[in-house]
Amino acid sequence: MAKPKLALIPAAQGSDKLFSVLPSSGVGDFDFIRPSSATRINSKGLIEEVATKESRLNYPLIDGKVVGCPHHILEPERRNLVTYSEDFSQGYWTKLNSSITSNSVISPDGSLNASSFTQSGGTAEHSIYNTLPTLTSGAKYAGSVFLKYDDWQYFQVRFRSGGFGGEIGVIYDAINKTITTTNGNLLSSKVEDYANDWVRISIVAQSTSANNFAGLVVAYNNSGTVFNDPDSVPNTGANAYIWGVQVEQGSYPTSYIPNNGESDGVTRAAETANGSGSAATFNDSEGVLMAEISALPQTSRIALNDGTTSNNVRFVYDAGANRIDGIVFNGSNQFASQYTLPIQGSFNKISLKYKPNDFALWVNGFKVGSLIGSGSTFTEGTLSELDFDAGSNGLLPFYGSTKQIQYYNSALTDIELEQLTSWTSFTDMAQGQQYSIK
Amino acid sequence: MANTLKFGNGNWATKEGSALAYNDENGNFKPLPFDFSRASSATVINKDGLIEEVGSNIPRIDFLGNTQGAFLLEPSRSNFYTQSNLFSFGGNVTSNNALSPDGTLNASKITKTSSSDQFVILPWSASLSTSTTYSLSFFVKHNGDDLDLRYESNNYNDWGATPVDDGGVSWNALFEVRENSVIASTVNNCTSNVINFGNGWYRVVVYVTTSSSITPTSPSNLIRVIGSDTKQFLMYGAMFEQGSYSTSLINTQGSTVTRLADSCNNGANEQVINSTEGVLYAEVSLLSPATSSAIISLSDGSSNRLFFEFFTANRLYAIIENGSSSFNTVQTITQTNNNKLAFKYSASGCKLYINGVGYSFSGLNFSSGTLDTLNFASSNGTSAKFIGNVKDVRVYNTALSDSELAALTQV
Repeated sequence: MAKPKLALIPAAQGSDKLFSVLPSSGVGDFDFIRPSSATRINSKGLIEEVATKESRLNYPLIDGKVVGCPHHILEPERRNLVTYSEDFSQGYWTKLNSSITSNSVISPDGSLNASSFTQSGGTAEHSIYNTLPTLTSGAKYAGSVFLKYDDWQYFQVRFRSGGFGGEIGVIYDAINKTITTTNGNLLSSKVEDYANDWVRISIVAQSTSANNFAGLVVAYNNSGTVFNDPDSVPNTGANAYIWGVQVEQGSYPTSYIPNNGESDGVTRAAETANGSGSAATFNDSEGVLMAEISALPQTSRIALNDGTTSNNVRFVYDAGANRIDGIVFNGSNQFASQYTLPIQGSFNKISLKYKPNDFALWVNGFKVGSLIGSGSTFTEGTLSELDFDAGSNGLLPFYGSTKQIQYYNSALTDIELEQLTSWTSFTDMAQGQQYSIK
Repeated sequence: MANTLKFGNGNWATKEGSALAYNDENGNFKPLPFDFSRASSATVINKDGLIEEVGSNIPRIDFLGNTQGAFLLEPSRSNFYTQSNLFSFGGNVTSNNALSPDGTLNASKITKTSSSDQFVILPWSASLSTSTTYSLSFFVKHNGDDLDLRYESNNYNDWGATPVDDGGVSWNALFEVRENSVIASTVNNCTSNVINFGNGWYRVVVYVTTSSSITPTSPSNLIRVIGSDTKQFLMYGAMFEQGSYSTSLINTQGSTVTRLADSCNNGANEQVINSTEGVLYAEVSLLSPATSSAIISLSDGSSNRLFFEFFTANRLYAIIENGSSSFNTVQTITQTNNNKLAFKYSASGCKLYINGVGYSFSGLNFSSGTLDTLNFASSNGTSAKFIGNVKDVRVYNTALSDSELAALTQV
């Protein structure tokens, strides 16, 4: 198979750049912008802060362990509304029949800064909760908390009824690391394994009013089945470990944003990565654009373009349909193929071949769309840059994870495209798509 | 011949909502994920031989007595015992005394304090239906002493039973707990079984069929512990479920808990299924003889389809149909055995192979690109769900020869 003309294979973090390994001149590097710090999962599986302007190389976790090669992550702007996300000794946190011992165990960031959350008092609700700034009515919020099992099995993680019109959340089984019951108008929830037996439990709900008594509650629960029984939990002096609470406006949770006392919250700015390549990099007549990506659930694009939206070879992720579109556009669609992805949030290997009268979209080793015998491409000197957006003014930025981007300046054969969009072994394929091998 | 879809055979990968099949033609591995759902948590025997709880929508690979693993699909069941692992006993109970079948220190030591028979009490909560079989079970491990355990119904009124002359109980089953075995012994008005779970743990099971319907008040079963003073054994995980066979343990803590049914569909695509000829292969076993249809199908999601159908009276059908024509063969098999089955289809004829033996029947022609879906259910994905263990499923895109099919299904 021919050597790619441009290749982004995440191997290093850079200030203001996403480095492409090809071409070696650096013309393939993406200009990267994020005017704030952020966090990532490092090679040890620990949460680590990344400085302003520095791109993020994130390592995948399967069952709490780092498995496989890292990927770049690009996320939208989010604000953690929780004033003290790690220091639960602050009066900001109301401890109801419970106590906090700070700096008890190693947290998901590898420091001795996670707290013990211990029962006290009688048979009553043992909980900890905060009060958030006034919510926006009708907006969706994602709440999340890191928990680690010590000696009590069931916990509620829920939004307070203020602002949400009811107690919306889940019962979490800390032994089996699973959600056993949900309650209220919960839009989604998930449990993610982190290193050292930590999990991040996330819940998403829609605010129903601009109430100023909204907050996130973590409470001991008596069973895995009855949501409203925290009042009947006996005081056994049981304990759990807690760290890293985040409440952010949005329909899905994003990477952890620490807040150590900012009452207005701490904001992680949106990330952009654009401007890779030049007119000399790209063949206007024929070529292949390949991406191995996992998109966050909002509609976005990756486009090889002319600096506008008038000419492009693009991938479109349609979040509502969980669909990838491969489109070649030079004033009108010369080729457009749609493929519904089997699973939301998985990595997929996608290739789009363009050549006059010969177009094809490949996904995960299969040709899922093609056009033979019609369609034109671009006049010489048209295609000039590759962007993680639609190609103009930051329109429809791509948010998600990228394991690789490749560009070939000739149209590959079907055999080559099959190989390019496949994996080399069962293990490689399964882990590459975040499956747990049994 | 090209094996265009592989699922299992020791290569298992799962995540929430998906079980992974694949195509590895040309040395290129391509995912062919199934959609998987189960709207509740469940337990499974993991690779270490331990009972492990998995969350909602997580597929289960079961390694009980099988180092290669098997994809487990179970029906919905409820555990009517309200405390599956908290036991009341007339002698001493030491909770969290030993490692249980789940690998944690939560098995109870049951110790006699009298030379007379003493009883473990297992409260339950359910309405029983008439002429219905129930499976009752618990885990037991020898702990230095030989003794006998008699699983008893307790109050026969709770079972709507007519008193029988056996001391006032309507059913009972004796189990002999010995150093290297647990033996199912005599039974009255029930049948029994013992399943070896390894590490010295055995699951003893009693099957009881009711003769009337009843909603008892505060019912319980008994385990009569027979042996001299100070004799002891280890106990874990009691389960009382409606059904003629026992299923994976459902943990309860104060109330009954329901594990919902597994469902796995929408595997494959039109590129790995040749609609004009091919082979569907399955190495599978049912959890119990079928009382209704259980199907594994290749289809277009509708009336163009071919499938294995396990049916009552130990029948296995191989059926091919297109909405207007239907052809089949039916054979008798032991459905709970591990059977290697191959369904060769083509316009010129079909053949069902069962453990190396072939049976011919007429074929049908599907136009190219018709068949695109592999379901562990009928073509609609909802009816006749397959319930059982799946060790290996494959799709071939050519009609294999008789010798190839015989070799493929040879046991």
